[in-house]
Order: sequence, then structure tokens, then C-alpha cells
Amino acid sequence: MSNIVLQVEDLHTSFFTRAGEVKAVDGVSFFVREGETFGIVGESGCGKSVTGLSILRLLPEPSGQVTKGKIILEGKNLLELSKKTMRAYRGKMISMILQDPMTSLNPVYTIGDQISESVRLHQDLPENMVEGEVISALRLLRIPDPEVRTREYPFQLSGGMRQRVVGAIAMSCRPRLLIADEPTTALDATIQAQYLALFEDIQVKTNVAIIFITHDFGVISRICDRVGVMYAGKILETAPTRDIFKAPKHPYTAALISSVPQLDKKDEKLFSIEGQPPSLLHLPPGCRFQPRCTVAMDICKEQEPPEVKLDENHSVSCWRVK
Amino acid sequence: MVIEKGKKKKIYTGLKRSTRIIRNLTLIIPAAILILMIIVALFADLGWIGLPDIGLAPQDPNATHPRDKLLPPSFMEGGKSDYFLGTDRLGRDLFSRVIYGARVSLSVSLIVIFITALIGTILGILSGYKGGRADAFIMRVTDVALSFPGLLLAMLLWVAIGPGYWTVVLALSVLGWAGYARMIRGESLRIRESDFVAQAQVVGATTWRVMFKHIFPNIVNSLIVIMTLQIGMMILAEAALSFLGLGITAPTASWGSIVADGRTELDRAWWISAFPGICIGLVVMAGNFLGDWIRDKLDPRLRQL
Amino acid sequence: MTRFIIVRILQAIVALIGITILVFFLVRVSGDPMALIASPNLSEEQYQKIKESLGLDKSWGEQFWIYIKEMTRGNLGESLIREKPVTTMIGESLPNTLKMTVPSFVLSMLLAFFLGIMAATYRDSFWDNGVKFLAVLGQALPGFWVAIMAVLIFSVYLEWLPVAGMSTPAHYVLPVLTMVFFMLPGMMRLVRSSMLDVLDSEYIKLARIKGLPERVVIWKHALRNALITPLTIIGMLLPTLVVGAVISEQIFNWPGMGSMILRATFERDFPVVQAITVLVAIMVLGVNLLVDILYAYIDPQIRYQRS
Repeated sequence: MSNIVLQVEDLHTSFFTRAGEVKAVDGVSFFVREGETFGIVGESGCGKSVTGLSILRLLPEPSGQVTKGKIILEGKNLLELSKKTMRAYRGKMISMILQDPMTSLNPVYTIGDQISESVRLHQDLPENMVEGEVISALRLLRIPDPEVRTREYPFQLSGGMRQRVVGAIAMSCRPRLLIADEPTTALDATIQAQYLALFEDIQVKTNVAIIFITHDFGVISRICDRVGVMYAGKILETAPTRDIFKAPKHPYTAALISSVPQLDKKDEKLFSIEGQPPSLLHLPPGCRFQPRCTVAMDICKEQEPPEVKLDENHSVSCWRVK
Repeated sequence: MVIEKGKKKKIYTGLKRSTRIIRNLTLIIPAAILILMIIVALFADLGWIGLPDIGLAPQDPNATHPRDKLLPPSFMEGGKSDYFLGTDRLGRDLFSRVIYGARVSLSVSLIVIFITALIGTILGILSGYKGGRADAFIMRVTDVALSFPGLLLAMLLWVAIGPGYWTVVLALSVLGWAGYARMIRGESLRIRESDFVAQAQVVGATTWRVMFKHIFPNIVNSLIVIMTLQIGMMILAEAALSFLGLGITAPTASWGSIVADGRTELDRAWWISAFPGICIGLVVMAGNFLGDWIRDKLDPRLRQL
Repeated sequence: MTRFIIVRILQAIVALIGITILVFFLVRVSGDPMALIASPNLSEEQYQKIKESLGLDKSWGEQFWIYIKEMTRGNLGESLIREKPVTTMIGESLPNTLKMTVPSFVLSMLLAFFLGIMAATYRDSFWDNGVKFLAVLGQALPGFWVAIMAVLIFSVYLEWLPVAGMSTPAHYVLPVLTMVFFMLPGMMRLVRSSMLDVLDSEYIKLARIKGLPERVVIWKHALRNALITPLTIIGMLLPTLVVGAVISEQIFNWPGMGSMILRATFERDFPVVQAITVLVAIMVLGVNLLVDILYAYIDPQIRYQRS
């Protein structure tokens, strides 16, 4: 088994707003190994993006704060690093791809400028080698004519191509960990498939650990090795992708999976979950999924279920699972 | 841990209440100042409803008192109780002049706001909805109007048609529509793309019908916001013109001209210039705060205005 | 890009012709300008002589044609009162106006950008609140009043600064500050809100994800984008600049263009008013043109689309 690159332990992140404390991440633990893709899946607003930003320590200040927990990257707790060291980690050790390629590139600088900036900052290279490094990053993301692209501006590229550039920026210093926050959501279906294939390719070439954040179980099944199902700030079930599709243990996971259209089961009705996720300001007592759960019991309304380890890789928080 | 939680909650609800109070105050105080000023302007005297002897102004603003020149305000040493804010170099009662000055400042700005809003809205909707050449032409003219110094135009009109109340109104209106036109055009462009406009076009509504039945109701909120924010701008513009002597001619009092009057007496009678200026500042600030409040309520997208 | 500039120049020329025609006829609708200058006890012969010498005996069409011809030769007409060519009068007063307006403009812009960016970067800090307070005051208090109050405090009571004239550097302090008070608050507020929008954007998030120091994030990635909106409206600052200059010159007895045109207005010296209006129109169109070009330079999307 390969090395663990990132270990998140009991992470709590809150936003302190006028209305009160919003517990966006409420005790999340998971790990990612080298060369592995860990998926975080959940509805919008469940805290998956905030988890990503917490790891990078780029929460909007001063309202967003990590209140508890550890984020250990290759043995170092990121939460204990000085601001300066943390900044040196960003882009070099950890990188991130944002959702919307149309807005995540700076419109007034060329592609080359935006990639070389990262290269110059983190790699101690002589000036004449920077260009080569930029082009190799573009090649890694399979961007055609990289020499021409470096001189172009973001608006001259298509959405899919821009997202590759964002990927090239993220991978330009060969980070150990890549966080991809819904990188394909804004792309067309065909481009989406190409982009996902790129991730596998990059991983084979660089052995990077990837955290893939998405709301789409279809995407999870395609590229993730293991997956954590997140709901209202908590991971309810963690398991290898294959296991979770074969035998989901948590009612929420099961509901999510049955709401994904599958080509081989044509006649089945698509399942949808009744109700809305709870407000993170006022969580329900007991299990947070209980108000929407079709198989809830009395105890679910009273006590929060503990995390149960079914085997080394599979754990669930549900009173139905013993 | 539990106690701490309780504490935090308390702090936050406290914050919430205080912000709510502040938010209400930003409506109440400006609105009160503006209403007060409008009442003062209306009831400076009641001559216009046939009661010339009653009014808020204690004295005739143009009556001179040769023995009471340059008296300080009544609350200062040497002041007389007849003259609350003191007198100017002709012995005229400053308080009464400031009260009558409100009339000029407020009426000019309100008239100009209605004229410019009307012209600007029509041109803006036309430009945004019609698009094409009409749009290009109107917008070029708007660009020039927005960057052409209104002061020069006021001087030009002063030379061409002579001083007077309507010269001031005209001078402020000729360029003032441009701001509305640009804003309203943007809004109309956005609304033109919406389904209900397409629907109306499909069933064969005429251009004018679409413009005023479908687009206009959707820009009313933005229009109200801009009109309120313009109160302050127009009062400042009118004051600047009267300060320079390009406004309503003497002896009619206007806040700007009283400030100018006091300029030569600065070393002996600072109050002449000081008080009308404070009035301008108060009303303009009230107008701006009220505009901000209405904007936050009706149309928060306009925040950058 | 070149085509774009040529189109804009042509549009500006058309606008200029329109404004010139408008101004020319506007100053004449008031009636016979002779009524303003001729004293009533002139003989009919003398009256006609003056009228001819001023070219006022010809039809409006002819007068306009002569006016345009003369203008292209750089002759903007002659003052009715002072009997001097307008160009000479401008030559005497323009340098004085520039001595005051140029430093004021530069100072205002530098302060507006610096303070606006600082306020947006350190949102809700002491800085930001100070900037917001200054903006509220600056947009509510009349500039002429603030200038007079400054005279009252610094010249009349404290006797630190002189009130009128332009002989020493100390004479520049109050006029320049008055103009800064006119131009700074609006621009500062705009820079702040533009910067706040930019700082909220995804590309700033990405710049931080790259691990760039805040210094680079703000002054390289955010600044250039935040400049776009304020620059597009720099043309709209011209009216404020003119009002500020006229008021400042009036209050501080500054022998510049502002004082000159104000005096010409009161004397109804219409050739002077007309000439200066046309000159300012040229300046307005020129600045708008410059802003368009600058805009295209800063925003690559426009630069490329129009080429």
C-alpha cells in the first residue's frame, strides 16, 4: 500500500456570521494516498468545497475559521504552519482546480504569464528554463500547440481549453496533492469525459494524490478509488468506490446512488430524496439525515450515530448499521 | 463548552439587533431631515395660499436693518434674540434667508430631477430596446453629455438667455438626463432578453407597447433609486451655480449665494458662510443616505452607483 | 485596433462640428449682441461701423462660415470688452490654470487609487472606515464651502496660509486641496468598489492557491483588473475638474481660465465664452478618445476583438 499523503482528522470549520455560527464542516476525517483519487460527494452546500479551502487555509477571512482538527500533509500539520510557510506550500505541495474556467483565469494576463508565475515562485530555475517548464505543464494537460497558447489570453480559448490551462497551472510545480473542486461541472458532456480521462493520465505520470469534489456520483464512479459521502458538514460513509456502488450502507448513499441514471437499468424509475438539507445554523437533533430518512428509527432523533468501521476501508455513521 | 456556546449566541443576537436599529436609523434620520426641509421650504411663508402674514421665517429675508449689521447668532455673545443665526452686512436676518434659501434649492433640484428622469428614461429604454443605430447614436451623445462640463453650459445659457430661475433649471437639465439614459439602457438591455418580452413580441405587441407596458415597470425600482440619489447631486450643483453668481439673481436668497455673500465678511462674520453650507451638507447627506437605503431595499445590484 | 481608433476619431470630429454649430447659434439666440456693447448715445454711423468691424452685419450663415474658417487658422475671435484676441487671453491664463489643475489631478488620482485599494484590501478596517467616512463627507459637503471654511481656519484664524495670489508655494496649498476635495471622494469610492468586486473573483482565489504573496495578488493580479472601471469613467471627471477649477480660482483670486470665463460670462462677452466652450468640447472629446484607447490597452479582450 502506498504512502498516505494527506490525513484530515476531525476537521471543524465554521463561518461566523451575523445570524450565528454556521458549522460548514462538522467533524470530517479522511485520508488520501499517493496516486489515489479520493472523491467527496454531496449536495451543494454540504461543506465539500469548504473542506477543500480549509486544507489550503484559504477560507474567506475573517468570517471563516477552522475551529478544531488536524490537517496532516506528509507528516506536517498544515494548521500549525506559519502563514509564510503555508504560502510556500500552496501551489508547490498542494494545488487546486476551481469550478468555473470562465472566471478562474485572470483576463488581463497571457496563459504563459499565469503559468510561469507559479514556476518562478516555487522552482528555483534559471530564467531560460522557465519557458520549457511552462510548455511541459501545458503538454501534461495535453494542450495542443503549447508554444502558441502561452502567448494567448484566456478569452481566446474555449471553456474546456481554459480548464486545461487551470489544470496546467495547478500541476506546473508537480504538487503532492491536487484538490479538484467540481472541475467538470461547467463543461459540456463530451469535454467532461475528455477532462476526466486527463486526470487518470496525470495521476499515472505524476503519482499525485487527488481529492475530487463533486455532486455527481456518475463522475465518482468513473475516476475515484475511494469516496466519502458528505451531508450537512459530515462524512456519513467512506468506502472504496466499487463497494459503495455494490452495497451502499448508509440510506443517504443508497438514495444518492439510485438517483443516478444508469444505462443498463432502463425501466427503473429514478429515485429522488424528499425534502431539503438542514440549515447548518440549526442542525436537527440526533442524526442530521434523520428528517429526510425513510428508514429512521426513534434513536436516530435522539443521538448522533457513531462511526462504525465495517472493514479497513469502509466506515459508516448510521444506527441501522451495526 | 456549552456555556461558551450560549455566550456566543448572545453576542450574535446582540449584533443582529444593533445592526437592525442602525439600519432603521439610516432610514428615519435622513427621511426626517428631508421632510423637515420640505416643510420649511413650503411654509417659509404662506403667501402662496393667501396668508402672507403667517410663516416659519421670522422675518422678511430681504428686509435690511442698517443698525443691526453683522450681528452674531443669538446664542453667542453680542447676538440679539431677534436674529437666531445673526445678520449679514445689510442687517438681513440670516435665519430667514436660510429658510427661504431652502425653497430655491429644493424646488430647483426636484423640478430638474423630474425633467431629467423623464427624458433619460425615454431615451434609455429606446436605446436599450431598439439597439442598433439608434442605440449607438444615443449612447455616443450620452457619453459626450456625461463628460461635458455642465458649468460651461450654464455660463453659455447665462450669456444666451440671461439669468433666472428657469435658466438654472435648463442648465441642469440639458446634460442631467445622460446618467439616467445610461443606467436605464443597461436595465432595458437585460430585460429585453427575458421571456415575457419575447412573448409580447410573439403576440405582436407594438414597440411602444413593449417599451412601456413590459420594460418600464421592470425598471421603476432602479429609476426611483437613481432619482433619490440625484437629490443631493442636484442640490450641490444648484448651490455651486448660485455660489458663482450664475444662479437666481440677488436679492433672492439661495444657500449657495448666501455662502458667497459671507465670503467677504469672513474675518468679521463667519456665520454668514458657515450656516447655509451646513444646511446644504445635511440635506445632501440625507438624500444620499436615503438613496442608499432605498437601493439596498429595492435594487441591491446597483450598489456600485 | 487602428480601425477602431479611426472610427472613434471620426465620431469625435462629427461631435465637435455638432457642438460648434450648437454653441455658435445658442449665443446668438439672445438677439443682437450689439445691444450689449454699443452705448445708446452712439450715432447711427458709428454703430454701423462697429457692427461691420465685428462682422455682425453679415447673415448668420456667413458669420458661421467665417467663424469656422478663422477657427481652422487658430483664430478664435476677439473679446468684445477687452478688444484682445481670445487666443492671447487664453495664452495668458491657461498656464496659471494648468499650474493648479495638473498637480491637483495627479494628486487626486494617486490618492484615490492608493486609498481606494487599501480600503478594499483591508475591508472594514480602520483604513476602510476612514475612506468611507471621507467619501460620505466629500459627496455631501459643497466644495466651495469647504474651501471657505479652510480659509476661515487656516488663513483668518491661524494665519498659516495666504488667501489670494500665486506667488509662493504656500499659495498653492489651499487651491490644490480644494480641487482635490472635488475630485478625490467619488473616484476613491469607485476604485474601492471596483477593487472589492475583483477581490471576490475566482482568479484572485486562484492566484492565492498558486501561493503568490498578497503583495503580488493585490498589486499585480487585482490592480490591473480593478483599474478598468475607474479608467472608463475618467472622462466623466472632466465636469468636476472644470467646476473645481472655476470655484477654486474664484475663491483664491487665481488668474486662470476659470476666472477669465466667469468674468466674460458676467460681461456677456460671448466670443470668449463661445471660444472656451468649443475648446473645452475639444478637450472632452480628446479625453474620451484617450480613455477608449487606454481601455483597449488595459483590457486585451477589446484590443484583440477590434483589430
